[in-house]
Amino acid sequence: MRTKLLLLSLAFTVLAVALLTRRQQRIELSNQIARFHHEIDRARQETWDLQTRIAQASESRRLIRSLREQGLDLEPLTAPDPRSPVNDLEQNPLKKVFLENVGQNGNPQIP
Amino acid sequence: MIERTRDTLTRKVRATPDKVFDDARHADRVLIVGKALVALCTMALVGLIVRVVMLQADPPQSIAQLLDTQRTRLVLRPRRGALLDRQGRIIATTHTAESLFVDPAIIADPNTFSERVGYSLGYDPAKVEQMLARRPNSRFVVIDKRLDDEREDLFEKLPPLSGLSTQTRLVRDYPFGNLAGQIVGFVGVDGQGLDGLERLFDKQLTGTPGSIVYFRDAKHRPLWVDQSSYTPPEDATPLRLSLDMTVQLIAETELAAACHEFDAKAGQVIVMDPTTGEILAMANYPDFDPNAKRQATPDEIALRRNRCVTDVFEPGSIFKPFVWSMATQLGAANPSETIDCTTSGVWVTPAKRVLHDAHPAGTTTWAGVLIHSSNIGMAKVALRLKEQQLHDALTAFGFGESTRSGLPGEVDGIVTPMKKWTHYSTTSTPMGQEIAVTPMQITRAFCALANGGNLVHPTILAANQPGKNSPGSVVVYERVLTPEAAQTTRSVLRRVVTEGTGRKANSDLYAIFGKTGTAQIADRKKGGYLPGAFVGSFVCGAPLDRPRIVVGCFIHQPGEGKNHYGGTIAAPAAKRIVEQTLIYLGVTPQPPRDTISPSQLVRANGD
Repeated sequence: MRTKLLLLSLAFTVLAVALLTRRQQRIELSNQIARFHHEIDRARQETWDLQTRIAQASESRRLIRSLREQGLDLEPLTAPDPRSPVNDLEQNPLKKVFLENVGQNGNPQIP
Repeated sequence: MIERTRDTLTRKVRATPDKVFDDARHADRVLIVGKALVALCTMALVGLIVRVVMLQADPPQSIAQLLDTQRTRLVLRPRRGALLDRQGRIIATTHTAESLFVDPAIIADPNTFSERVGYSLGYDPAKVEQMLARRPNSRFVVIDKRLDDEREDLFEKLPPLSGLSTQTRLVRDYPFGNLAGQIVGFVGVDGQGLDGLERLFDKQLTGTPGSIVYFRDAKHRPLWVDQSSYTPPEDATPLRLSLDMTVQLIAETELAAACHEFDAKAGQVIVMDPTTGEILAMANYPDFDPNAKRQATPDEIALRRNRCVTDVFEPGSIFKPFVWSMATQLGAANPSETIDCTTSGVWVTPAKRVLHDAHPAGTTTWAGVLIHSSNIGMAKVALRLKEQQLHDALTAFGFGESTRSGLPGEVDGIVTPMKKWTHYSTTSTPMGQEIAVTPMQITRAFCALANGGNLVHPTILAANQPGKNSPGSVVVYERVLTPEAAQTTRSVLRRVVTEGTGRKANSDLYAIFGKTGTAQIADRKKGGYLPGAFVGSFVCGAPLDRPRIVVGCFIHQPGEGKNHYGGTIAAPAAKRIVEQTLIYLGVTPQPPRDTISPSQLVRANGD
């Protein structure tokens, strides 16, 4: 009888320890998740700061100043690519609307 | 099991009756105690479960308070949408910065504290102490709203100082500084748009905040996250503007140079794409830096204004091409028809008004009237039109109403209503008097001449918006001129640059067409005009055969003793802007063949 009670208690103890271990693991996992959340938020904000720094460093006037300071005598841009993304007529929906409705072959209505 | 126990006992009773009896009683007792223990354990467990349920469902006040101190709800701030130029360069962006604060309640000696903070981080100790003394009961005194990189490093190296800490906050930065400052505007401390595009697109630029609930330990360290209550923040999508910061830089540099050269009080430049109505650049002089500390002084408030849309002026001769083109379209005059503009430069109208030409044009063609900017010629042809026709011509080009660019503070301008027209109005309006326009209105109307007669709606948003349907992708055109009339006007405006008042805008690289203007500035207080105060302007487009840009350049109140004619103060700046912008846009330079070399030009004297 005692043996059986002992076995029963032992079984309960093992079960309790197992449950507590699982619970502890869950808490530790949640804690890790919390730290990851924090890390993600920090990384997100660091990305913002980096973007700002890049934007500040690549600002036109700063680039011009840097080029001047470095004494780089760059050749002036005389024949740029007319099909650069920003200048390409086909990539601008507003231009497209204009050409379809108003102009012919990229020219405004010139007789 | 009980049966087996009884059998054993029976067998034992046969052996020794007394001992067996004792053993049986003991076994019964063990059985009863065992049963009682099981019952007690069961009851305790049930009681525990009931208590757990009660605590979960309706915890007592004291426990609920304890739970609250262990739960921290944190608002996850969304990032305000960035403002980008048409090339994707960042004009306005949000990032984090550290602010330095002090809790005076836990500082033993403010004097020593201030000295330590001051000398370690590079602040004036007296000022720090003053800040602490100003709000002695506060638990949060901000010493520095935004720590710079150097001080942030110093703070990190500083040994922990009780009462001194930093707080992370979101700040708005404008990497281009004063470039397009008046257009971009700025935000308040809470990140709300207060002026310019920041205010106009505040709703689109504001994200949705998220939240997270942390369970913390007794030392307030986060233990775990409550997954069920986690809402991620939604950052706002960046907004792509039609502005091109390179063109903006060109415009602002040339405008500032012109204003400095002629000691002008103010100036504006607008660069537009005549086919789409996109504003590529909008410059104001003097400029305004949204990064600078703001003070609500009247001077600074005036500086923040985007005068390209908020201020009106009497346009003067720059207005002539619109009346000229409409009169031509209506058949009131033929470009080759000769008009007597008098050799004396003086003419009295039928309403007994005396008109003057700065440079007598004599007998010239209707085209020559525009080329030489003759007030007399314009008035003579305008008298052939009905008043209603003239009035309709003005409104058709969009004068007297907002351009619907959506830019904050845009005004309608002034066109005298028909019922208030006097007998002077028919001769005043064609030369740009009795009318008030914004630089934006003039530049937009000129786009109609450049694009074949269609009035475009100016837009500050680029057609291609990142990740969504663009609010700027809807485009509406209103036809105001026939393509033929627009083409004729353009070819005459080309001659204004090659042989008329705009010769200083003649370029070796591109065929520019445009019109100069010089107007007196109205005295708003006393009426009449301010003595010696002028607006010199030049509005132009290029290249002639396929106009890619329209540039409006307006210089206000050049200094005393300086030239004030638009052809001299505004035209050269506009020419430089056209050349640099077209090269940047990839338009291959095509030296015009219809003109003599600019080096052979004689000095242009007036409008």
